Amino acid sequence: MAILVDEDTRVLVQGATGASGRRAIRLMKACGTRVVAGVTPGRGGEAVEGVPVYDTVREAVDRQGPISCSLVSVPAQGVEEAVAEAVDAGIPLVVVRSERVPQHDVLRLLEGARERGVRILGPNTIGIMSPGRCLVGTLGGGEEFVGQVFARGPVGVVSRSGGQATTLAYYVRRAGMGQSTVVSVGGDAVVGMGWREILELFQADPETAAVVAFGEAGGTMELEAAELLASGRVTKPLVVYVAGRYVAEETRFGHAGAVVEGERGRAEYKRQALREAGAWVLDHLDEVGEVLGRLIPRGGEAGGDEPAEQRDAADGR
Amino acid sequence: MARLFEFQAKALLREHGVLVPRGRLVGDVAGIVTAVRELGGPVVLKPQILEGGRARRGLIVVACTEHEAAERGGQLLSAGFWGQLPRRLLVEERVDAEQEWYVAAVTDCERKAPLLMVSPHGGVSVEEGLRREQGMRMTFSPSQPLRSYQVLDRLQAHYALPSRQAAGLARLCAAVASLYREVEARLVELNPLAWTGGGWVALDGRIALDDDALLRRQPLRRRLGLEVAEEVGGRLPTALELDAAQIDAEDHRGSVHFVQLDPGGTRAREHGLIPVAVQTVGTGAFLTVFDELVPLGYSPVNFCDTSGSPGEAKIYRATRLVLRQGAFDGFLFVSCVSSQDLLETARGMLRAFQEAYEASGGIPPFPAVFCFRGWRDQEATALLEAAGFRRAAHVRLLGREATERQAVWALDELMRARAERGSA
Repeated sequence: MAILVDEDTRVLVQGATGASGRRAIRLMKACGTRVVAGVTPGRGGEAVEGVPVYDTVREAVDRQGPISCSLVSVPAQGVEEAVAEAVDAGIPLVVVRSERVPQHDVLRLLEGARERGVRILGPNTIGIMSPGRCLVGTLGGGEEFVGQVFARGPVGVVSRSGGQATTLAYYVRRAGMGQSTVVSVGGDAVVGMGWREILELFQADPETAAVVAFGEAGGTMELEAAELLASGRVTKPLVVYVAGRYVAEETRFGHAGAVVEGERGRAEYKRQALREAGAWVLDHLDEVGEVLGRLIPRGGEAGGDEPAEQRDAADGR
Repeated sequence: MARLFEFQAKALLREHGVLVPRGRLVGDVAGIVTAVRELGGPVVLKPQILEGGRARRGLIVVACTEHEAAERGGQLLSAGFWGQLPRRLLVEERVDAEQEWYVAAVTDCERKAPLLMVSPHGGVSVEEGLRREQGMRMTFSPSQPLRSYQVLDRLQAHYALPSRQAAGLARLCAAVASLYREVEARLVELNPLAWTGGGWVALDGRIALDDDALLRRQPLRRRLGLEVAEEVGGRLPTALELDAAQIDAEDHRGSVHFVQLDPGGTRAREHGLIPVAVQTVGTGAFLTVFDELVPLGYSPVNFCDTSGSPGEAKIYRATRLVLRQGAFDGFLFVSCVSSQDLLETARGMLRAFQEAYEASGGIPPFPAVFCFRGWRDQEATALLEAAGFRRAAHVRLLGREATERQAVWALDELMRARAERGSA
């Protein structure tokens, strides 16, 4: 098991013939992903890395059979339509790689997806990987590099930042463990699935023993995790770092939502809420391996250490 | 995020049927005098700056006579708070408010939907008011018009206002929602919104637009004279920031995010911190490094993220901007454990350094740490090593074995060594 994507996931790429689409297909195939079709309107009949390209998603589904996930890798202005097409064709999971998608387009596409019960990851996500089984997106970048960072194991990874998803995966690996699934939820202020959905999935996944998460100042996604922990809906250990303690109020990068969230968007507020809910809140990101080592003694079930003990130890340093 | 000036916001509001005070935009004392004559009666003088809290800072001045307006307006125009902004006042007729309310349409990132907020606690202490009492909040569809009857039902359930007052407020809310959708705003905020006894008048208006949407909205941009650059919060973009936005506009592969958090390093020095220039691969890596820098006594003068696999040329241009800032004492580059081709990144950075510090073959005159972690990190380090970077005592090359914290420690060590040599 893993979450969202695994060896049975059949992937379609929208924007298959563009440079970034091609790069994604090459890497995804190298990681063992079943890339069954590509779509670029006007380029039907071509092939990319041996993957047949169709004009529409509907046509791809008709020819190739059910598709479980679409990777949207089209220019920002075309994202709303591409997602609508995937949703209309009944694809249950859409991963939006594109950056700088206008926010109102995102609001509308999420509204449409919600009505049809479709899961959206992103926009501005580097992707999702269940190591050794499936990659959707471009996590890992180069084939030889993927093997150095990602390996199958018991740790779930979730991050808003794509880069820090990889960094966390690497710290997990360096601690001698592997990852069940690594998820970059996307760096924009408004994204589809957040920590809430991802943590609920990790909780239900028997292969995941603990979750590590990278959060940031701004937004309130990290507080969803605190709620889940406090209410007992998530019982697996959560190790979390919230970056941006010194970011000035006026420069929470690109964020009008501060009007709504107020002080709840501050890193220190989130750290406090997570700590109170029972998460392991790191003072330094590179402590993650050490904490995991105590939680998961030999790559198996989570151990019995309590966050409070760890905190005392950290305070004593 | 592009914030509009009050006079721009009010022009858009007026077009959408929201009543605003009559006013004139002026740039000198003669303009103030003309405006007072045209408007008659007492006026309000409002400096057109981008930060909020003008009333709290005493920057909003009521003048009852032409003479008073000229004198006080002249003082405002010659005051020190303007920075790079053009010195402009909005001169408005004074509107007497019986009540001061707050209305906003804003993207609620938590509910992933537009949100309408209405509160009777408008005015200076709105933040406190909103904390005490959440006010009326309703999400609305990003794809359908918000109708005033939908708002009216909710308003009356919440506030039970006299019918005429409530109906007017509901119509105004619908107009604000429509403006929010039409210009693809992130925020449209009226505060204070005056109830005069006879109607609703927006005494102040704030609008923040979405940069990513502005790219396709040339007519609106031209009309408002907006320049697109990274979010800078309460000030106009600097020349270097505009250059950075240009890099992305011309070259779509990967992205450059560049913000001068502390131009000139003045804020750092005021707080007793040492200003350093920082470049990262990944925003998350930047924030992590920032967390480690401050406790050791350093403060980044800029935010610069070059991620998403930009080419050598793009990295070169970004690094050049970072170096051109001046006014910093050290330089730190840290990549996340990155899936972008770091050899390409190193090539771009090296070119910028070699150009900036030609005499020394690219070796900077200040302490510098380069920490490459990720795809082709060893090749990236080898490239700088071949250029002689490892031989310089005040430069440190780090690889995947180093963490964000260790990279900051390395910089700290170099900075201390330099300071000791300086004092010896």
